[in-house]
Amino acid sequence: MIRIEQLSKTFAAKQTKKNQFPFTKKTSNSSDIVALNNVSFTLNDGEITGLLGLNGAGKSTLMRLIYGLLQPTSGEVWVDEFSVTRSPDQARQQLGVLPDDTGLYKRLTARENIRYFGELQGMTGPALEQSIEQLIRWLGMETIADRRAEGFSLGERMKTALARAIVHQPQHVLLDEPTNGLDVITTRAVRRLLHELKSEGRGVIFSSHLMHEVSGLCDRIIVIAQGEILVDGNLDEIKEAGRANNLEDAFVNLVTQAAYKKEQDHE
Amino acid sequence: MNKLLVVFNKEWRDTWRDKKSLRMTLLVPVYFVAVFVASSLFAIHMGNQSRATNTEPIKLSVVGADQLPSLIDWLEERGLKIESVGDDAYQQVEQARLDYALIIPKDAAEKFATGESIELALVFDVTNNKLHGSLGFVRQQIWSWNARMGALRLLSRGIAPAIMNPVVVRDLNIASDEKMGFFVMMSLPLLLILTAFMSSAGFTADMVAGERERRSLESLLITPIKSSVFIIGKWLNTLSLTLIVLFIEMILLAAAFAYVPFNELGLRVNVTPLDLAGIFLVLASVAFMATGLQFLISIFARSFKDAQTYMGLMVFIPMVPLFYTLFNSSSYADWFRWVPILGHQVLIKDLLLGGEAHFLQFVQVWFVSLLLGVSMLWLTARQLRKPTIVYNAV
Repeated sequence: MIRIEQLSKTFAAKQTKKNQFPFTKKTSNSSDIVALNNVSFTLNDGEITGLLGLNGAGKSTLMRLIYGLLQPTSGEVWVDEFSVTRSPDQARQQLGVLPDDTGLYKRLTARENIRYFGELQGMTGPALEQSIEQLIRWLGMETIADRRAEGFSLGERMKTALARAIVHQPQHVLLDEPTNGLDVITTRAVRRLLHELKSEGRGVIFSSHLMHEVSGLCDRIIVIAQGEILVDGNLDEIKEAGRANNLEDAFVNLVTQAAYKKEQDHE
Repeated sequence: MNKLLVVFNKEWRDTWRDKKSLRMTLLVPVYFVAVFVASSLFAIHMGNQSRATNTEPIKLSVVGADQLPSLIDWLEERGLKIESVGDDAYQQVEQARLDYALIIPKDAAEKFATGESIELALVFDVTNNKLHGSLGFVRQQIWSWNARMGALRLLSRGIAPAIMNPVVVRDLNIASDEKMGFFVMMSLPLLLILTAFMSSAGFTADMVAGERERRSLESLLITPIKSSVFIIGKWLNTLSLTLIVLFIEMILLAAAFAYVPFNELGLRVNVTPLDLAGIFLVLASVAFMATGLQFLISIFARSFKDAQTYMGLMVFIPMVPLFYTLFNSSSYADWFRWVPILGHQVLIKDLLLGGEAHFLQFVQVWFVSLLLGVSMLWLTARQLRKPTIVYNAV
């Protein structure tokens, strides 16, 4: 279970005019960017959750706060019983993460790339090798497993990165746009993998811009705009809230309404 | 400890698969030792040649040689080859047809007889570097003839010539072949320290800035591993590689000292294998500190290329104290030994030139290196998880 409690994150806007001495304390400033504003929800095990939002809505920031590479301005993230701010290492051990930027070591083979991360997660011996084998099979990577990552296609890179992210069989899996730019065969492989994880009782959260992907896969959908959660529910609930017959229309309705409301508030 | 090994092993494998960079790195010692041997041989050759030209008689063109035969005799006695030239000697020097000339005025014989001062003119072009040596010699001979004549004149008037000379300066030049060796040896610490500083900079750039460039840093930091473990695991790679390079350099240097006949060529070299082992120990401490610095610099670079630019500037750090001692070769103070690089250089120089090196002096340079190296690695590890580094953002 991942519990997110009143999470907020603001970034200092980059100043171009004002001179500031490097050692003086930076004062907070009205032009700070609010990336997340008081967000709370709980992700359950054995559930696939889709995170929908426009570019810059705060999806990646939310992900980064969950795996603890960004520190929240306020609020708290709990991964099972571990607080991400207080015991980040224990929390991270429960997480398998595929960030939006993910590079491979091109002089290592796909298998070695996966093995390195398994070892970093503390796995060794037959358990590790078995887990690597299983992922290679699930993702259909048999032909590339022992090739060096140099010259991999986007799909091959993505599959390797995905296997690398979940080799330690984490209880919770976070994926930032995992099927972006993948061909249909690879997308199917990823989809199969997500179902496999779900059936094992693991929690999955992934962000995406592909509506059919989200509506086909997710048990639950969270729509996020301007750092706030607009709707949180299953497909039918989202369609109802967005007053439309399909997810895409519902989503567009929801985010445009939110933007309109925000504008009115400003005025 | 286990995780440290995991990081180390991965980087080690990665390093040895990067064949091209590895070849370049392992060529560094070969290149440096070759440069050292070639430049020493060249310096020795030049030294020998200038000594050879010194034994040839110096030529002196004289206008009006018949006016002062006693001076001309004196000069010839001192080994100068006198050539009479016409009155246009001045123009000839101006047009560079003559290097220099001595002009004796037409009334010189008359003035000499009556005991008046004669104004001799030495015509030369001061920008012509190659004649400074011979010109000095000619001038010196004229002065000594002048002193002799003066003394004879005083004697003939019953006055002791010593009254003219309250002091006499006698030059005792102790410069010898060994001095030559000294200058050649001075350049060696620079080459050695540069190797320790730079040889694995490319790998550091790849291991640290490369993680940022290929966008693998974020994935790496999501694993439950301490920043210090990553940094130390990677750093041990760079350090091992630098030590391998330095070891090869020591072996090549030992071979150079053993097989290149420096001694026959007039350069006295007396560096034992024990001295080389001592030098290796000092260089290892330089490497400890320098690789730490490489890490600190690379962590702030956004890309491999960026890192290489910064590292290029880093080379100037060891250059500062090295240049200082190059231009003030005799300067030395005890506090030098506490200054990074300068202290290392002093100790290496002592070992090369057969000075005494004490155990405590090794402890001293290692203390400085450990302190700096560890603090730089600590600073690097502290930077690693900062959002500015991971996401290039605040």
